[in-house]
Amino acid sequence: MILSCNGLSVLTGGKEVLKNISFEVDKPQLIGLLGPNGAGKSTLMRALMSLIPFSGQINHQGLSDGGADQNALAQKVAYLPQERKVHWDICCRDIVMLGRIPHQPKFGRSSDEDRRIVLAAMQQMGVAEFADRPYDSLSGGEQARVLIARTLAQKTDVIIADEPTSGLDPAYQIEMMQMFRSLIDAGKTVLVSLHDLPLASNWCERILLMKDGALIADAPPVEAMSTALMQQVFGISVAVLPDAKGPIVVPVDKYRK
Amino acid sequence: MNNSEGLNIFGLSAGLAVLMFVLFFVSLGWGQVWINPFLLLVDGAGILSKGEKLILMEIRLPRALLALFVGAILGLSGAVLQGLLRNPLAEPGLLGISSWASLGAVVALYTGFAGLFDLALPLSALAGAGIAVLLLHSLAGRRADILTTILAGVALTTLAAALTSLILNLSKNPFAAIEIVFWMMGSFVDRSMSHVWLSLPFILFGGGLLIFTGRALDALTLGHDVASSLGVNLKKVQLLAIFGTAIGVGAATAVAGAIGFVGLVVPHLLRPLVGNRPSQLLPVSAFGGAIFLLAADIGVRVILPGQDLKLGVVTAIIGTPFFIWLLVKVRRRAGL
Repeated sequence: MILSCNGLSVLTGGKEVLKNISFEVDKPQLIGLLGPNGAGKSTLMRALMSLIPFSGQINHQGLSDGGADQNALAQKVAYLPQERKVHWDICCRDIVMLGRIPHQPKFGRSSDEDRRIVLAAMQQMGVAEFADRPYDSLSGGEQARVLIARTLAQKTDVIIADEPTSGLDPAYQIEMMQMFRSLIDAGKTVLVSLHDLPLASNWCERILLMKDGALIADAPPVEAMSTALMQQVFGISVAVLPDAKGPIVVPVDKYRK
Repeated sequence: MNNSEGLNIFGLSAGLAVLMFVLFFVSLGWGQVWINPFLLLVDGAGILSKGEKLILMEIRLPRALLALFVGAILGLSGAVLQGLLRNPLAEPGLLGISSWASLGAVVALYTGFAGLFDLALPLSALAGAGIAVLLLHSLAGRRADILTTILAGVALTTLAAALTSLILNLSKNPFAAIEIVFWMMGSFVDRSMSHVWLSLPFILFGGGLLIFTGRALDALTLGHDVASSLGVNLKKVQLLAIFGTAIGVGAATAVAGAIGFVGLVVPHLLRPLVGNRPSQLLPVSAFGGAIFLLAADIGVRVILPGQDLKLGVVTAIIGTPFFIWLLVKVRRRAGL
């Protein structure tokens, strides 16, 4: 089992923002997490990372102590938040090197192997040339790739990414989904929240559809992004374009009765 | 490249350490009479007179040692707090510990307790710092949430300032009032080796706690959630940073008085030299703080040799315009 959660609930200020979520991942997949703003996508991801208190069971590759051992969890799952701000303007290599923290002895310095892994991660994301550049000097798309390189350097089997494509131009968005696909081929699992329906339907093999803190559907895009479900969850009408790989779902209009 | 960067940081630390020792020996030598401190090492020759030896060992050595260690802990804790809060305007005074150490000293001066025995003044200042740590801990609560802690620090500072004013207000003896005001300005004059022995364990212990935060501070550049997802125990880091600062800076203030701006200015000046990395900034800020105070303490002897110019005054006069410049720069970067 790569990842599973059972009866996962989160209470915030007396309000149940995550309601009894259960799902399992038993093979490498690119999983899209969809839902309107406030549906609980980020909350689900943060609960999976044990960043917030929750009830229910979460199991990461046999690790089921609810994140009591943060370092063990950090060796199994990498987390990429939506926020791309880096608080001090450090150089890109130093940022990617932070991904090695869970693997380093407590007061050890970075080893040659760490440096090799960091370089490989930066090459994989096409940002090796920026290694010595300060982070703030890069464009938004370049910054996004550097931050993903950091999660790759963490060498985990699972990556949880919160809206990694937001604010990126279409070419970068497609590039990022391609990169996630290549990670799946390499045996990793990526759980990614998205607001872009065409991107989700085109690239993900599995969709978790959320509304009001509950899991509405857990199925391949062709089922989980049906016209009826899109209307129910987002209140929109969609057009479904046939494509060689599967349907591409395009939002058209707000649903009118 | 990474190796050469490592060398740069090593070179920078080595350079700062050399500068620190040079200033330390200048500080030993400089005064109303110049005494070559190296002659102490070849004492067998009997070159130094008994008086010169006395001046060197009893007056100048504690002064130079205190400038070194107080400067180091102020620089180090400033670098840690700026990293923890991810804010270049953070400084050790923020926690209110130094204000309470001052208050403890003021109470001792007002009541006359300070005159009872040699270490009465620094001990009661240390007690003030201790009370502040307890208050801070109970106000900020078990969770030690960083924003609550800072707000508690602001409240503690205000309370200490009010109580200090009250004591000055009530002080019938103008000489006591002047003594209080002078003490609060901060200085290394007339400190003995017993001041060093009193404060050094606390400063070293506090510094020891602070130096362990380095890697966590690096991880925090990517925000709380990512740091936590990288396996960093944020609670532990906050406790190390806050108690390390409280213990170290509390003890430093107890023997030297309130010396502002070192913890603000030094990390900020050195940050670009270490590629902005918070962990690399810690050791160099300790060296930098020591250099800053050793130089300032030599400065007060050079600028007005006859008079007792207070060190805290000098650091504030250098520090305040710098603080304003920093504010303007931060505002510009934020595009406001």
